[in-house]
Amino acid sequence: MHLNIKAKQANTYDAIVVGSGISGGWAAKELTEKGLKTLMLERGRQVRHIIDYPTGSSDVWEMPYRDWLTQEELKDYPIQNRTGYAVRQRSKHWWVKDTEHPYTEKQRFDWMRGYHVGGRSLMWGRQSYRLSPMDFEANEKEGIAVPWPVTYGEIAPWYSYVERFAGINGKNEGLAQLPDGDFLPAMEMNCVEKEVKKRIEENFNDRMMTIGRSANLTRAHNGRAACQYRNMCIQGCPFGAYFSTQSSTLPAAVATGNLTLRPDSIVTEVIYDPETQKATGVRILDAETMEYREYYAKIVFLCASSIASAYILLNSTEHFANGMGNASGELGRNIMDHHLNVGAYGEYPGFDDMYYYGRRPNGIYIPRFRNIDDKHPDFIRGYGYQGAASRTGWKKDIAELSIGAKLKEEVNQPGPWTFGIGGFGEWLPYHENKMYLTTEKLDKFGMPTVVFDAGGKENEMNMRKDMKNQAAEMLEAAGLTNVKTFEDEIALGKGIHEMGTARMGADPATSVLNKWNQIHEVQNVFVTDGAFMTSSACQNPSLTYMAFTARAAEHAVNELKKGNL
Amino acid sequence: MDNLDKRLISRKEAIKKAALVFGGVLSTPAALTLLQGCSAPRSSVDSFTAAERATIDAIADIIIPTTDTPGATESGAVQLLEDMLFFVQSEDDRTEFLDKLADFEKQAAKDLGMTFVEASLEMQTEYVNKVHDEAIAKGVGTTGSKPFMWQMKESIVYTYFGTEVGMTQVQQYVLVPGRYDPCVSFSEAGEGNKVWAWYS
Repeated sequence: MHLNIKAKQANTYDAIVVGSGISGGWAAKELTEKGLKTLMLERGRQVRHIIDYPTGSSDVWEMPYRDWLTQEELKDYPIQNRTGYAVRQRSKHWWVKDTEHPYTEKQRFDWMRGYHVGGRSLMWGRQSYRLSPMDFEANEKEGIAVPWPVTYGEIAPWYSYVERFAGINGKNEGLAQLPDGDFLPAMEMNCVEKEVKKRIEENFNDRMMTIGRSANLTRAHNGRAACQYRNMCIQGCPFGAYFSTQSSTLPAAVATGNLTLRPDSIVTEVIYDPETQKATGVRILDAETMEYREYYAKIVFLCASSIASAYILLNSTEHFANGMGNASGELGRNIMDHHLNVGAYGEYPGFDDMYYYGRRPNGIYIPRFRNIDDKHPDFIRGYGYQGAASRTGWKKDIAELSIGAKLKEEVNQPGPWTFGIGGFGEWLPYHENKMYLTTEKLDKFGMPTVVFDAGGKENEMNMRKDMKNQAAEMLEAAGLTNVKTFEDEIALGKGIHEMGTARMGADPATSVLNKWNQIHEVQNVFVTDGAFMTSSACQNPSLTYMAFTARAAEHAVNELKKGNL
Repeated sequence: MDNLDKRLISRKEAIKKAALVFGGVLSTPAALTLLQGCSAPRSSVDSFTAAERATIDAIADIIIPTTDTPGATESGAVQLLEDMLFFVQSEDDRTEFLDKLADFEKQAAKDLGMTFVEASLEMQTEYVNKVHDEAIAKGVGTTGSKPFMWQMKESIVYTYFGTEVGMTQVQQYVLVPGRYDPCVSFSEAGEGNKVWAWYS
């Protein structure tokens, strides 16, 4: 590289943040607020708050094809469409076209993602739960993988810190397996949910049901408006009422005057100086001009998502044959997710004259109850359920409906209440569950692509049986009728909670990151997206990424001040 | 002889009706198809033939007629059904539906002594009700495939409640509710005594 000094100065910042999703947004906010001139790189296009939400205020009937994609359109989304719910006319612009971003599945891997400013913070499910002391202790106690190098006590204040800024609604229940938090007022359960909660708690002394904890504002907060109960979050919220990069962290970072955001910038590798044994910056491919550029900084935060951050490190081979930070051989391994799409639903007889107003973007939560006091014979760890009661549709099924004018009356006789729950199960970290890069298949930028070779094992399979059976048992006990179970094929990635590809640990021989999210061998590179997770627990993970990112940013700045980085 | 005259007159009316539906612009090939009768080959792979559309319009408005609120065709539900059939549904499903429609037209012509669209509204209504009741009574059978009229009813009800008319005039929908009331009586929820439109 022959760069003149001036050009190099123009491309030099205090910090570089790679990725603009939940973790990247937090890193940018924290670093800029602490006075660091920060460059945020995003591989996808610019998305401005509200202005670039094309369907943000669209009525549902304005969507063509009743919101479904055409056969022709679907050809671009064969994988993104695997969830069955994600890709719609109202939301298709948030998901990558699989045709443009190929990868290889040695075992099925549903890699759901969006390449744009804001990343998945725009499409996330917003459920926000803390991991508990027992989650941070489990690996060590059970001899699974490696111990977490961080205790709940260390991260708890950071959970509070991010909850207070992001605005998480919820109810403190004093549970050991689901710690309380700094919450906005909780949303409310509807009639049937309240009744089901009562009956589940009467019938199972080890179980309880609480209202979901979500990143939707139940009152105006930090300059953002309260939730309007449209339940159209995935279309982008013109009220900024759910936490996203655009609504929350990006405005805070921009307000400092210290942020430079560069979309269309695909980070291909981290640049390393073997003399100082530090990273000096990153190399990017400009997606518009197809030119390579280099940016320099004292610290680099990789927040590109578990898979993409691991990709960048695996592709940083100039000085590391197996990728940067891979001395342990654990980089790209131990991929986890939450296994889901298994549960039960039924009808609730009664409350025929009751209904609700508004569309609540949140449901109920039944926290983990397995392997807390007792030990289950068939599996370790546990699962939680998410669900809701609703009264949608009409009483008669289509076959029974009259033909003619009377049909219009009959469709205004509401149908029975239904209640359903689906489990979110912990996925253990397995060394053999891996991703790696191949040059045999290149993407449209000529870059190597990802190969996934990972799946579920006995513990997950046994847990799923229990998830199904317990769901049905609880619903029966709660007095629901016509209870039916459901179970889809287990698929890594389908939970869209992929994590663990650069796990943290105390021992550099068995982990990629230290307890501050720093790469053991390259201490001025921090990885704070899901890649750092040492175990998956069963709670939705984004809140944990936020807390660890904020904590790592403070550590980074302190170390910079001490001259350690 | 009598019947033949009726058929010719009605066919002209059918063309007029179809022309109205298509905004008065009926292309020559489509008009020809219509005049050549139901057995003419399909001229288009991305829309109903004019004859098919005329039949679907008539059935749809019998299932969901205009009352104090617009019916199926006026609401745009038939157009939505057509768009979904030709662009969203799989080729197999589409072929199956069109085959069933062709069979319906054939059987109707036999039963009514004239094509379905030629028949008076009264005859059409009576006939659709009869075929509908038979379809429901017959059930899905061993093939798992619903008889035409059942499927037609399902499709038009589905698309009707995906239109603004269906969602806001017949059922109710609020774009920005502004609050969540978890437990209110059915008579007091929104406009009261109306089901919330559902979209998923």
